[in-house]
Amino acid sequence: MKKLLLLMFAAVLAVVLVACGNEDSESASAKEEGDSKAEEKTTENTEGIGTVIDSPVEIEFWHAMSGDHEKALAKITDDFNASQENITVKLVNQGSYDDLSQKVMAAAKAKNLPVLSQAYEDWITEYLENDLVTDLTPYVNDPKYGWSEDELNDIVEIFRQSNTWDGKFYAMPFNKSTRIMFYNKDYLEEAGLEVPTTWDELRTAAEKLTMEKDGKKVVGLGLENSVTLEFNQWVEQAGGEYLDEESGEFKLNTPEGKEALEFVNGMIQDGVARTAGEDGYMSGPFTRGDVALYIGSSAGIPYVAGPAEETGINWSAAVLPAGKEAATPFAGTNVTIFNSATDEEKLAAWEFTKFLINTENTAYWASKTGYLPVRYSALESDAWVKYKEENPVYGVGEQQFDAGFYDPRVAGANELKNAVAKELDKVLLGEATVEEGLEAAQKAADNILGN
Amino acid sequence: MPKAALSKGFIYVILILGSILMLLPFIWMLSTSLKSSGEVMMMPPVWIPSDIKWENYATAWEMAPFARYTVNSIVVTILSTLGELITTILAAYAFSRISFYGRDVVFAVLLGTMMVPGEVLLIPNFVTLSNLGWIDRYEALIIPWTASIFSIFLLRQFFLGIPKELSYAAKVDGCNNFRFLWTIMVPLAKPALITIALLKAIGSWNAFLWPLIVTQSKEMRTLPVGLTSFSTEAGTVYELLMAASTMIILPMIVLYLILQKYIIEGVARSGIKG
Repeated sequence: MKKLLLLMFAAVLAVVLVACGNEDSESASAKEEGDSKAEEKTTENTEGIGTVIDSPVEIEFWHAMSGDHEKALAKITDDFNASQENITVKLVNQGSYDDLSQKVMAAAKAKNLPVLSQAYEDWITEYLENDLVTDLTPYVNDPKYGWSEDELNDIVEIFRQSNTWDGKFYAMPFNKSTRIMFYNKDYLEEAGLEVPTTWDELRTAAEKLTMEKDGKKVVGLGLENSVTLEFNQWVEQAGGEYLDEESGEFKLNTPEGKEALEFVNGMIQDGVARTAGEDGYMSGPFTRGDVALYIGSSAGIPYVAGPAEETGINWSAAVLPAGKEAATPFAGTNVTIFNSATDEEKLAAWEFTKFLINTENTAYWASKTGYLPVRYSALESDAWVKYKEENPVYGVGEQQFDAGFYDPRVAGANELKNAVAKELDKVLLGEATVEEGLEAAQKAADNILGN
Repeated sequence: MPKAALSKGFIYVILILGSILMLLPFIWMLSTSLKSSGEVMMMPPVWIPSDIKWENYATAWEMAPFARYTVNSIVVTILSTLGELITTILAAYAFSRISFYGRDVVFAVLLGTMMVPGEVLLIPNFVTLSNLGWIDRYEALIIPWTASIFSIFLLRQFFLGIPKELSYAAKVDGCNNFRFLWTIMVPLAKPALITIALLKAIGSWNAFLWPLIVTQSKEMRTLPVGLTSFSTEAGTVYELLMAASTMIILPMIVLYLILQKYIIEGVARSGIKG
């Protein structure tokens, strides 16, 4: 028996070693091949997009939209396919964003990437480093297939910026959301309060709205569990910065970062703010009337609207209160085209991208999903104006375009945010002081960034 | 004997508490599946919905092509279970009854592979399947799952517990390995085989990540993938998710109830927990 055990141990070791060895050489060779392939591609690219599509092209679009979002996307895609003689776009749902990201990575290694995919900005940074995505700038500027200057500038500025790397477009904005402040109208009215527009007012309102109500405890401000994951919102509002994209420097451990963390942590420690905790999302407690104010994603509007109708909560939403500065994060994914596709496929994908976010369709998309229109012209379109009249809260997001900023786009941003959030959570849980938390966050971030 | 009765009563109290604890999530699932969206989030939880919404089931069913998913799930579950039974029986017999050079080393290496976490293998496996051209086909959903080291180990231990004298007697009567395996060993190992089949069927029925990764089209996907239709980044429609979950796990619960006594026997005899 002892002999067998020893043998097993040796075998396990051998297997693990072999597996590790393989992994390395495999990824290295995959990268090499990828590189040489990329070189070929760039030479092809210089020929411009003289391509024409005169025979049938079918392209796949990988996405992570489900439910009503998927239905709206399918409608736009069907319209596109019907309008085209030779191009067919096939939608492929890949589960959640996490699943999609994993699958794109696997497909990149197996060299069977789709032509189009939804992607967050930090994913695209990573794809760029691995030479996987197509530079869309030639397409944008092309006299035949591109956009006029007006058409390009019609795309909301913050979204244009977030899709530009070194002056080149590598993606186009698609489903964009922002953070807004939901509020319980009745509670605010009873307390004789206006909707808070600054940090000071927010703090005062949170204090006043923390109360006993019909025998149950109401907390003034509700925050999502992801508050520490999305902490850049608070730092930017304090006039600081989360991460400097240029230098790759983590900037949370600064006076502004400290002010932001002290502000949020202060409200939580004083019991005038809470996180969703086991409720998962704050939409639950908010529609139960357990919190009076709630800062969360505009993509959560349907999850408030549905239940609120039944529980009889009288609610609305407003722009985020400003600290030293008004700063609002814009999140959500973009559409990117992989460079493993043929020139015809790329052109087909570009045609689809243009269609997907033209004025009419981005307005339709927004009115069906609660995401934001990505074109200024769509804000005035009949469909969107009418929709906002019926659902005024959907008009809040666009009021913050000018205060907009986007998530850090460095490769590994996700890992970084998670590591930092872990340290900040300790502060919110009272296990560490603000200074200790920021120190630890800095250390964790430096570790990942390799600073 | 009041003392014995007391201790028996005590055992029953513990058992009942235990079973309530185990059943609670199922009851919650069932009750949530019949609630309105406003009631889902109530705290403390509402156990009996004030307005029973049967239509949640119909709505959930329409959110994704569940009929097609069901067919796929059934095909994949049956074929991969059958495949695994065949490979397991053959391998376990070889490892327990046939002596050949290097047998124990091979077996030890196989056991060693159990220590490699599945996540590590995801991308290499995907690359292999993609080279074989199996992506988005039944092959990818079934063939990689037709062998399981754990099952081989389980059955080998079971086979080892069957007296050697039986095989000697069979050999004397001129019975070859293959015939001995099918006519004597397999019937004797029925409890272990049913355990293996059931664990496999449940695992295959519930598998999520693999089917999602190796398929592209709606026509090839399985039931658990359909459950993603109810979640987005900003929230989850719990009542519909629970309605769909109830429909999906029902067949497995029925199967488990029918085969329950074999499972316990199979696991208890081999001394391994599943």
